[in-house]
Amino acid sequence: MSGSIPQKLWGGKIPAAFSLASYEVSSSKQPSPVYMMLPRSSYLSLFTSKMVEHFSHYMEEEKRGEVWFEFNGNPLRWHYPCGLLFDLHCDTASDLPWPITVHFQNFPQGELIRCNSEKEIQAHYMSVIKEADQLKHKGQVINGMRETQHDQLWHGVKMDNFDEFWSINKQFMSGFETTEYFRFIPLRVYFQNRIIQKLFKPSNNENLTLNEALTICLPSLFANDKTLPLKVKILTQGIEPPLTCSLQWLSENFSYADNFLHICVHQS
Amino acid sequence: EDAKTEDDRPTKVDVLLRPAGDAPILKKKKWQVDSAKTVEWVVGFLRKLLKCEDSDSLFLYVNQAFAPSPDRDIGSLYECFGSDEKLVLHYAKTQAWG
Repeated sequence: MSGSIPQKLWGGKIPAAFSLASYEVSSSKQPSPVYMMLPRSSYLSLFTSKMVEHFSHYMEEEKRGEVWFEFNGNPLRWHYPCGLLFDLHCDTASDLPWPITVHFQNFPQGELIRCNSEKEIQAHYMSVIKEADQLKHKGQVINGMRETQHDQLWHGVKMDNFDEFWSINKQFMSGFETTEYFRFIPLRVYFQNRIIQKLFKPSNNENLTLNEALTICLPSLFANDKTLPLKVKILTQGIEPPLTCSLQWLSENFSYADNFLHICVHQS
Repeated sequence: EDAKTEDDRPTKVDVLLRPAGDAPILKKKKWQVDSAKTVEWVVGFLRKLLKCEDSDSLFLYVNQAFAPSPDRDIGSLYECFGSDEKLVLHYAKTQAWG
């Protein structure tokens, strides 16, 4: 599957610069940032140990609590894929490398979910995959897989290995029962502070496009003729897709490793 | 043409709480929950009902298939996974469906 769209998107990385929150630095020497190319389908918490390794000797041991990440005053949800976080918080590509602040103190309880181990990231990822498969195939594909295949799927994500990931993930691209379509499309739309998730059945309507789905998710955003105002930007995987794209096609090609389409709507 | 509301979904959702594994059965199983409440809120509410110790785990499942993220709102879960005008959630003290 070389050159395929999912593979190309997998290869798209976000340059990021992780800096320790200045008020947490207790050493006289300022730590240099950690520079990384973040895979879009990865999770920030996978890099926690790297942050601990790099920054821990710049602060007081007893003040070291759970690591959390922040950009522009916004705590970053570790359970969202990196690419989604970037599309949500960075409206333009001018903020590169993406400057992320690393904190070891004052974990924002109530705003962020805690992540105590890598097993929790894996458990969360598998839950989202299970939800996606519930929607696409009534769970038939994931339930038909062995535990080792589940592990391989996660391992591919964790190690940023597309071939390993896709060797299992391609099974989720089959149609539901005898049809060519998914039963429902796993889709989340993000607009301002809201997350909208509704049921979209592609087999009902072969013309189920991104535009159609958005008019249902955000009706007040659209004019009576179902067009978008000029100042609205629709972003997924860092790209503004044509609104005439079929939702089924987008789901097969533009989903994140969690098998969800994450569509960010920005209104300036 | 009528103006559409952004959220034309109900403000309250009927939630049916079912035990899985060796989790205790609740006397009152059906609850009306505000659609804006999160999974985390339901877990906290259930923990109080079941008189869970701080050290006890409690897992919540949708469709006996997946554990929804704590920040998911009940309204959206009902919209996608509700049936017969209610949302069935299974709860367990150990991981039942992974």
